Formats: sequence, structure tokens, C-alpha cells
Amino acid sequence: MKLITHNMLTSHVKGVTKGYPLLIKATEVQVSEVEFNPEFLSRMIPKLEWGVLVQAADSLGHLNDLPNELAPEHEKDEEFLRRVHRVLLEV
Amino acid sequence: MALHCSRTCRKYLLHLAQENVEFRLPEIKALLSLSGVQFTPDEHFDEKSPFWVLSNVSEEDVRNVMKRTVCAKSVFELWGHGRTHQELQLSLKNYPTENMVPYLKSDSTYKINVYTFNKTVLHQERIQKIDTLEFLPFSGKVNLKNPDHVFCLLENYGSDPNRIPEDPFYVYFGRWIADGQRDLIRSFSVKKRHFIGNTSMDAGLSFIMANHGKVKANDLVFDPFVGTGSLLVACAHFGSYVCGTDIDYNTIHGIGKASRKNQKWRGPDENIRANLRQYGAEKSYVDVLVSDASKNVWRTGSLFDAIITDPPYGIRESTRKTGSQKEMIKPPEDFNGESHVPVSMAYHLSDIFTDLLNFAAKHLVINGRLVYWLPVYRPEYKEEIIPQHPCLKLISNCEQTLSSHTSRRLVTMEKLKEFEDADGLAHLLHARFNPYQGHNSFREKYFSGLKKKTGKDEFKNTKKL
Repeated sequence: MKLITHNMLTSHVKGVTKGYPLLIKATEVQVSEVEFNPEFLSRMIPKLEWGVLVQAADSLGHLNDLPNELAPEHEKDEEFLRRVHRVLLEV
Repeated sequence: MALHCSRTCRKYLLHLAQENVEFRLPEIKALLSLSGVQFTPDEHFDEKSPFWVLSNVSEEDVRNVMKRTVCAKSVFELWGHGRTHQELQLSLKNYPTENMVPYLKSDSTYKINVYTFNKTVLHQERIQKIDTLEFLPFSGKVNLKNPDHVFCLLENYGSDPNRIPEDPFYVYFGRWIADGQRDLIRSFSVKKRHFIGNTSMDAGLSFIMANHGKVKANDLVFDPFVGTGSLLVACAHFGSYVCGTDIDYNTIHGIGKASRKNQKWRGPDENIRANLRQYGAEKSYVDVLVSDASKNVWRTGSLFDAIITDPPYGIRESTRKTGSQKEMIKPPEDFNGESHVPVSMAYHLSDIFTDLLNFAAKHLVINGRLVYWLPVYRPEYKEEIIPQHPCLKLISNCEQTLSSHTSRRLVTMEKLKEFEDADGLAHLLHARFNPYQGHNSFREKYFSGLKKKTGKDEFKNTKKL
């Protein structure tokens, strides 16, 4: 599962009060290359739960220097977008 | 002047394929709206005709439509038209010369095609028809193989193949601009696809669904009954990112019995990602999960730009959801979150649609579209049975006939406002939000009709479901 999907998933089990975010128990972590697309990322980033993404990436050892807070003009920073791309779509 | 005229004065002639006739207008409307243009029919507009005249659009708008459409074959800049060839000539003489001249220059090459609808015309006659256009100020050279400009004389001999008239009902002349994407139907054919299932959607209809859903580049599209991902393949072709869920573990993991003839088991690497890779769209693959569409696994928020799906009706694929025999409210005391083995249970059709509409209302972005198929028992069909939702507006609803007594309707809805808690229960409070109720028995009716007739044709038609 990609971290972009993890960011959107919650638990549907009844009786669970804190269903989001899901805890990750990774048995294997793979990185596979995906074509970089800055437009898609700039549209996706505002929809993300940023804190959850940072936490999830960190727990897998792929934090990739993501900041705890989103910078205001992040969509112009290609280097930053590339790092998000790696965490979101390639891990 | 010419610039000012580009959107208002010129007219364009759309030549459409005569199949999936009901699906054409919503597709063209949706594609025009992607360019921010409204569809404005002229006074002679006939939805069933293979020729439509578009006005109030620019050449760029129609070119954009042609990059997406699988319903239209080609588009022409309309220079003249009429009920007879005399009327056509008159109309051509009234067409502003300054609009023609750029395409008739002496240093350019051209060719003229003749297209006849519902009649075969001999080569000799075609030449004669072209000769009647001599009065136009053509000054370039004819080049049949590789012309700079292509013109076309189009004749409509009506739609009754048993009574073809001597002379056409209507004639058009125009400059060819672009062809549509009809080729995709063949190049994306399910026959050549790597991974398919029993109910993989026909390629043409998949593209029509993506177009009705206004799916565009960099959108995030979701299919809650993803199956083998036919709809995602079409959406990914238009540049959107795709994800999906399905309750069937075997399908998601591409294992189990094969759906292909002469092939018993699925081979390795038969999965949705491989399908996307086959068409060069692997970058669009987000994730596909085993999950139950009746239980929401997505966090709150507007996540998806479009939801495009083909829910199971219980004919060719069963309708199942997870649950347990007793539908427990509380988890057992020794519950540790891992020992729960889901049991699949019947999933009523009307519940599927209530859940689907609520899901769309919650998770679509504003103006995002939901596109899905609704099975209908034809003798009982009324427009009111289309499920409604306070957050969603019905955009279009087109029928595909499956047999004499059943059909399915492609329903397109657009999200108008954000979901509030009360909206989720609207179907219980207002009858108009849940009129589909009585149609739970679609499956019984479907098979009862089958038994009565037991004709071979009937049986063949079940294939489509």
C-alpha cells in the first residue's frame, strides 16, 4: 500500500473510537519508482492530513526530511515536491 | 473581426456514430463543459441524427472535444448546408469568402471526400457530386494521399434502411478539423486486455463513463466495485490517478479461475496494475484494496474528483458485503482486533445504491461527479425510481437495453453541496430519496422473465450484465 492511500484510510470496525490514522505494521518496505508529476502533487497536498503523512513516513524510516508543518509556498518548491512524491507514491 | 467571430459566427458539424445513441448528448455536453462551454443546439437539432450542428463554440473547443469523445467520429467547420444541393450551393455562396480563402490558397493541396449516410453511392456519382462544387474558389492542387486540407460533402439519407430515398434529406459541406477517439474502442478492447473478469466493462462504454464523469488529468478517481479495473483503465488513459476497492480477494489479487475461454486459471501478474501498464498508464495507479463497499474505510473529507463504478446486480457477479450471522453490535469481550473473520452476507440492491449515493455525497469534491449503472426491470421503469440525494443533482440518465424486459441505465450525478448528517438519513424520511426500494427483487424478475421466454437470444443477452 502506498502512503497516499494510508493517508485516506480509516477503520470501520465497530467500537473503535480512534480509527484514524491506521497503525502501520510493516512486514516489508519497498520503494518503486513512479513518474514524477508536480501538478498532481500540488492538487493532492492540500487534501492530505499532513501530520499523519509525516508520522507514517517516519515510522517506516522514510521521512525523507519532510517538515512537520507545510511551508506556505510549497507548490513552487520542486525539490520539496520531489521528496513528497517519493514518500506519497513510491514507498 | 475574424477573432471576434471565432466563437459566435462559425458553426461546426459533428458526425456521430450511430451506436449508444442515448449516451452521446451527455458525453458531448460534459466534454464541452470541460472547456467551459455550454452546448447550444440549433433549431434543427435532432438527438438521434448522425449529424449535429454546434454553434457558440470555437475551433479549439471542438478540437478538445475530439481528443476525448468516443461517440463522435469527426468534426467539420460547416461552410454550407441545405435540404437540397441547390440550397447547399446558395448557402455556400453566402459563406464569407474571407473564412474560406486561407484554406484554398494556390500553394496548398486539398481533397474532397463524399460521405453518405444510409446509402452507398458509386464512385462515378461521387465524382459528379464533387464537380457540382466547382464554383468554390479552389486554387490549390488536388492531392489525394497527403493533402493540406480535407473537405467533405456529407449527405443524410435518413435512418430507415428499407426505404432509402433517391435524393438525400439533408446535405452539408465543410472543412475537416479532427477525428474523435473511436480507435480507442479497438485498441483498448477487452479481448486483448491482460487481466479480465466475467463482467469487465466494454471499452467503448468505459470511455463514455469516464467522459460523463468529466474525468481529467491529475484527478483522483475511485471505483468502489473495481473488479478487474476496466473503468480505471479508461480514466487513467485520460490522465487521472485511480484507486479502487472490491470485496473479492481473488479478483484483487488476480488469482482463481480465469474468465477467458480455453484458460482454466489466471496466470501470474494478472492484476489491475498490469492492465494499466499494458496501456502505458502505470504512473496513474494509486492502490487497489480488498474492502467492502458497505463499510466506509475512507476518512472524512472530500477526497475524490470522480467516482465511476459498475455495481454488481447479482446476475453475473453476486452482491455480497461483509457481516456476521447475527450482525453483532458489540465486539466480543476477547476481541483483539485480529481474530475477526468476516462473513459475507447478502447485500440488497437498494442498500448498495443508498450507500453509494451517501458515499459520493461525503467523499466527492464539490462539482465532482458520480457515474454508475442502475439495473432496471423495464415494464416497471419510471423516471422517479432513479435514486436521489439531497447533495447530488441528476445530470443524465441513459438506457442500454439488455433484453426485452431488462436494461441498465447509466446515471450521472454531480455534487452540489457538502454533506451534513441529516442528508445521510434523507432516504428514510422522504420517499423521493428512496424509491428504488421495490426493486430489490430485480434478480427474481430478471430470472422469471428468462424462464418464461427461454429463447436463445435472451440467454445471449445475459452476457452483458
